[in-house]
Amino acid sequence: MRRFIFNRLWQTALVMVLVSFGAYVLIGLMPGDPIDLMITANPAITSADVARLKGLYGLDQPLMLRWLHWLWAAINGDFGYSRLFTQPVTTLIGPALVNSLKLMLASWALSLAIALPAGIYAALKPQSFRDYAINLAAFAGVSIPPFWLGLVAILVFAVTLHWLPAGGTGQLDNASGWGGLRYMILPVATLTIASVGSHIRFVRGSMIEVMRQDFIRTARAKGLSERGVVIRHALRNGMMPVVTLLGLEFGSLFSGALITETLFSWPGMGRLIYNAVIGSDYNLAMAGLMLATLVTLIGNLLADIGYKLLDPRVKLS
Amino acid sequence: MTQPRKGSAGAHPRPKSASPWRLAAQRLSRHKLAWVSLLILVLFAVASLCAPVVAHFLGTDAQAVDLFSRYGPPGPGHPLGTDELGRDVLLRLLYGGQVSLMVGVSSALCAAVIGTIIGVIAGFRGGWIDSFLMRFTDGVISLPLLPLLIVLAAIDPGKLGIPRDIINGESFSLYRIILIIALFGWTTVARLVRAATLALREREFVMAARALGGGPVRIVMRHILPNVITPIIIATTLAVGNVILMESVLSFLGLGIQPPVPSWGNMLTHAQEFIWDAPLLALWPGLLIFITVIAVNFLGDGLQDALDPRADTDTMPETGQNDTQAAQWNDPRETTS
Repeated sequence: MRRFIFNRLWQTALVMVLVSFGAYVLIGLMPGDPIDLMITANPAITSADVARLKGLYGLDQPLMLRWLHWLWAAINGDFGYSRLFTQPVTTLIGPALVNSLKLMLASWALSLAIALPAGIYAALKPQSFRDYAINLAAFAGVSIPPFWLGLVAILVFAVTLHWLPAGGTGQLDNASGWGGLRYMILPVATLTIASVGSHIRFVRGSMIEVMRQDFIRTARAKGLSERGVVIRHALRNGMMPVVTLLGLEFGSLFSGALITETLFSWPGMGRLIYNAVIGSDYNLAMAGLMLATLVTLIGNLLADIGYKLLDPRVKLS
Repeated sequence: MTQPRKGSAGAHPRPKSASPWRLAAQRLSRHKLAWVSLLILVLFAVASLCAPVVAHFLGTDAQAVDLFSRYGPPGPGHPLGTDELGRDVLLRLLYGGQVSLMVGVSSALCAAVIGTIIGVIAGFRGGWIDSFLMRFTDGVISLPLLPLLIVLAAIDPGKLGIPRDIINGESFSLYRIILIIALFGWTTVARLVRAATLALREREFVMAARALGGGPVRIVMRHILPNVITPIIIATTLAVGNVILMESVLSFLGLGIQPPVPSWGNMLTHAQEFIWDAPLLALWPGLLIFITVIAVNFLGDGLQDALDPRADTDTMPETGQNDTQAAQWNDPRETTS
């Protein structure tokens, strides 16, 4: 186990370095590098000035060297300055992380609270009417474009009914308690509907698979009630793939929901990354991408460890 | 003891006996949904291909701006009204359908080709090539998809040395989005094909072909590929829905299909601004995306049932790292929230 974790941490670090190089190259290919912007802003600039500025910002150095420089600074906790917000990148990420976490945890919990009972309920009687109904709802959830869902939610609950705010966090008008929670309802509902479908299908699929196993038949044969069969034998085995799913989604708790946050002006990580990319804020985009990658990789690792903890038969190699 | 039948008989302790009629009805009702979905998709495809004809009858085209009739109500000249620039909404929906369907199908096909090549090479060659390719696949799967797609979509192709007149061409953003989405979409097919190839490689008919002197290319083309086509078809069908969703998301964010070419996604880009003036405008494109994607998903599900009845319960991963992606067909990553 310890050896496995050690190996995986090592691999994760390697992937991070590779991804950081890829991301560095890609972000450098985005339009509007700092010098371009200065040229556009000041038509009187001469090519000598451009060369001098490039030297000043270190842009005359080869790509590899610039990336190594970035990497070294990043390892030492220095992600540079955000051009868009004129603040150090590290001070921007903290609050955004907290905001994303609030939103994602709420919708995660809600989605699971719906998907677990619904998926299990459907799986206990496959091909029945209730299975079809739940499956249909799950398919609808998987197929709905989340940004449109958010738009329709705004249209109905904010524009037409005036029940809920259309966006923001309510920090500006010092909303607290219920007042602050009101701002979370629409984004959380949108996120939940967008994810509950795949959760239901996942839970249902793994439960159906387990209910067909021989040990379930054995449990029934020894006279256990159906309830006992499900709770004592099926659930523990059926939930293992769900643990995997949770691990895979762990990253999204921190990297946020890009579309929903943008739509509802929720100042989380997803919106931060989006704004950084759109505004050609290289440093911020780099830091955001790296953070999103790191938490996703950690989530994958946690999924494997959780798997091992639930099922001792699993060999981690 | 025989294998429990699929359906209520095997999974319930005191099964009601399933009459042949009931079984048939169940199966039919399942596939009916797939048939209806196929019908809807064909209808959408035909309708969007007929866009020029409709334009001819309406006497306008999808990009004709008329600032005097912004947010026009539905009427004889404009069956679904006009948008924020006075363009005909019905026509833009039809042309947008062409774009969405084309991106969905071509990108899924590109991804299937990439995935098949990688999967066959990994499964057939084995050894370090296999482990390298599969580690690479794992790496791609574990990346945060949406942020990376957005960065890829935002890069300036001019900096890659592509001439400006190609970049500014109308269809450039179309090819670009197809390529970008395919670049990340091949992993499911690659893993399915690799697993199937590994199993097939040791089968007698492959060994016989090898003993008869068949080269690797011939064996792959004649004996391996025809036998792995079923999972490829199913995975690709299901991928089409995901691609359409992703295209609409990127276009919505202004990073996909570039105006004035309409797509269902970019018709909603400014929806938040005009939602107060013309709420219906925000409704149509999203509804069409929703219907298309759900139809594709039903079709994929039906195909899976019909072609590979055993597969829909194959959600159990085996062990360890390779299987963090547990669902075999549906990529559980939250890609578009």
